[in-house]
Amino acid sequence: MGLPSKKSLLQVGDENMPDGDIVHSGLGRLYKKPYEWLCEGKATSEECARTPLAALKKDIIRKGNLPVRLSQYMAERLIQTVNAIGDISAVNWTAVNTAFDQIAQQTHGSHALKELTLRAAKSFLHDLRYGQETTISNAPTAILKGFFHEVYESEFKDRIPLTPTHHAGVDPTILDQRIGNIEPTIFTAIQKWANKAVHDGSVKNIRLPRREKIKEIDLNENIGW
Amino acid sequence: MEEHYKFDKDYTFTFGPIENGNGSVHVIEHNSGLEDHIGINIFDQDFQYRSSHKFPTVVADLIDLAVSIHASDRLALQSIRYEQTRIHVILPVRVPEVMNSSTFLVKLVNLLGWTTASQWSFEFLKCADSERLIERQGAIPVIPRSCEVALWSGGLDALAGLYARLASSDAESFLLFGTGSNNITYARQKQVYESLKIPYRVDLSRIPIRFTGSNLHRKNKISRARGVVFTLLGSACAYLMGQKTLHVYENGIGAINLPYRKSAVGLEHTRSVHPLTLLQVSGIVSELIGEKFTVYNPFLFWTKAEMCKELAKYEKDDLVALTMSCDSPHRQQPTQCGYCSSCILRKQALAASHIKDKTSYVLPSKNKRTDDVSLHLRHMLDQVSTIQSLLNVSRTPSAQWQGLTKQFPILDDIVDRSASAENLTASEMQQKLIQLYQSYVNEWDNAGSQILANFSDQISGMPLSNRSPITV
Repeated sequence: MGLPSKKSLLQVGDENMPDGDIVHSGLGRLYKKPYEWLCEGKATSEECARTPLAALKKDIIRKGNLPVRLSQYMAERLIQTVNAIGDISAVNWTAVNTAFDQIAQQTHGSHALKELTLRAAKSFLHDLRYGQETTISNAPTAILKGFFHEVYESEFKDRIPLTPTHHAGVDPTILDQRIGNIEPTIFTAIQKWANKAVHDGSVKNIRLPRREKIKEIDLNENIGW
Repeated sequence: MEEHYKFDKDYTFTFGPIENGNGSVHVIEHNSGLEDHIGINIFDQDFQYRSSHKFPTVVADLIDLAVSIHASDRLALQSIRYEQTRIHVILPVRVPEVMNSSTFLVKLVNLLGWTTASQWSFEFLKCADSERLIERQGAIPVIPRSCEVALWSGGLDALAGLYARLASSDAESFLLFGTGSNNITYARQKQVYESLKIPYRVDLSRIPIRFTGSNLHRKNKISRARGVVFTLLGSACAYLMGQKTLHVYENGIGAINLPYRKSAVGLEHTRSVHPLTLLQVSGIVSELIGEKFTVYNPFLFWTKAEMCKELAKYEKDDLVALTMSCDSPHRQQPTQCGYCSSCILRKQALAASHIKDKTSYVLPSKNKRTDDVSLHLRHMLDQVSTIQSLLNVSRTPSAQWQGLTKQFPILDDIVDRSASAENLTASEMQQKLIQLYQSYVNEWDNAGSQILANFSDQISGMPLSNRSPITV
C-alpha cells in the first residue's frame, strides 16, 4: 500500500474543511451513467435497473472482501452470544455493539468500508433488538446484504444531487418514482449476491441477474395493433 | 484481494522531550523513505496558576501525550475513504509504566481510531529530567474555591454556554481554557474573553502548541484529532485547578453530528465533541491519574438556539459577532463564509433565538457565485426533513425512538453507553434526545425562512429535499 495521494485526500467534487463536515456534491464517475439513464427515462424499468446494478456490482467487487470477512466475524460473535444466553430478548446489546466496534477497530482497511459494514451489522442488531427480526441463523447473509444496501444508498441513491431540476430537466419527484420502480429488482439482486458471496467467502463471482427473455412473437398470434 | 504491505506502519513519529523551545519530532514516512525533523513546542506558562505547588508528573505526561497526538495528526496524511494510515508514536514520558499498560493503550488506540479513522500505536519511553520550566518553577497558588473549568474555543457555543452556566452553576469562579496552533483562533479566544468583562469570576488560560520548520511538510487536511487534543489539555488544566470535571459547552445537535444523508460515511462528520468521544477521554484521563475524572457537556440535550437564548437573557447579543463558528474561514474580511454547515447552524440558532446576527459573512455580503454555496444547506435541510418524517410516524416515544435509531443507530450506542454517566435511565435519555431533535426541527420550521433568504439565488424554485419538504 502506498500513502494516500493528495488527490485521494481531497476528492474532486467534495467540500473539504479542516474539521468541518465533508459533504458530497454529486455522484462518482461509476454512477453517473445510471443516473442519466434514469433521468432520460428512455429504457424500460428492467433496463434502467441493470445499469445501476452493473455499476453497483463493479463497485462492490472493487471494494473487495473486507466486508465479507467483517460480516462473518460480526455474525459469529452475535451467534455465539445468543447461543450462550439462549434467548434473543436477554442479549446485552451494549456488549454486542461494543464487540462489533472492536472487530472493526482491530481490522486494518478502509475506514469507509468498515463504517458501512458496521452500519449494516448495527441495523441487523437493531431489528433483532426491536423485534423486527427474530432469527440469527441467517446473520452472515443479512449483514452482508445490509452492506450491499449501504453501498447502494451511500454511493448512488443518497449521492444524487439535491437540485430543483435533474439531468434532462427531470423533476425530483419523477426521479424518485423511477428509483422506486427499479428498487425491487435491485434488492432482489442484492439478496442473491449476499447468498453467493457468503457461500464463496468472496464477492469476486457475483453476477448480474439474467435478462428477462423477450417473448418471441407467434406468427399465428393476433398482436392486434 | 488481500493487501500485502511492505511496512507494518506508514509513519513513525519519534519525539524528543516536549519542551518550551527546543522540542522536536523525527518523522519517517516509511513508504517514500522520506525523513524530516520538525520543531514542536508547548507554551504552558499559564499552568503556573494551579492549586498544588508541585506539578504532578502524570499531568505533565498527559500534556506531552496531547502534544504528540496533535503533531502526529497534523503531519500524517490520513484518509477517510481509502486505506487507513498506520501511525506509530514514540514518546518519552515520566511514568511510562502507566502509559504502557495494556488497559491504557487499548483505551488510547480505540479513542484515536474512533476520532481519526487511522490506526495508532504507541511506545512510551522513560525520559530524562524534563526541561519544561513549569515543572521546575513553583506554582502561583490560586485561592481554593469551587471552580468550573471549561473549554474556550472562541466560538458561539462556548460563549452562550458560559452565560447559561453563570446563571445555573454553583461554581464561584470559571476558568476558560484555550489552546491550538492557529494564531487567529488563539487571538480570538482572548478577544472574546476580554469582551466578557467579568474579571473577578471568569479567568482565561491559554496553552498554545507551535510548530517550527514545518512549512515544507505537507500537512493533513482533515485534522480530526483536534477535539481529543483540546479535551486532553483541558483535562490537565482542570486537574491542576483541583477539579475532577472538565466542562465542554457544545449544543447536542452539533456534538452528536448525525450524517445529513447516507452518503456521509463515518468520520466525514467530525466526532470532536461527540458524547462517546468525551466518555472515552474521561476513561483515559481517569486511567492515567488513577481516579475518576469526567469530561462533561451540560448542553447535550440543548439545541444551539436554546443556548443562544441565554445570551439574549443577559442582553449580550453584541458579543455574538466576535465569535467564530466557520469551518472554512477566509483570509480576508469577512472571514466567516456563511454557507458551511457550522455557519448555517449558527445563523439558524440566532434566528430561532431572535438575536440579531451582526456577524459579517462572505454570503450574502459578497456575491459568490462560482461554487455551489447552497450545498451544505440542502444537505442539512434533507436531514431535517428525514428527522421530521421519522418523528411524525408516531406520537409514542418508543415508536419514534425505533424510527430514529433505525436511521441513526449511533443514537442507541450513545444511550447504551452514556445514560449512566448522565445520571439518567435509558428511557429518560431517549426521551431527552427525541425532544432535542423535535426542538431542532421546530426551530427550522419557525426560523428557516430567514436562512433561506440568504440563499435565495441558489435555491429558488426547488423543493428543498427529495423527501417530504420541510415547511419554511
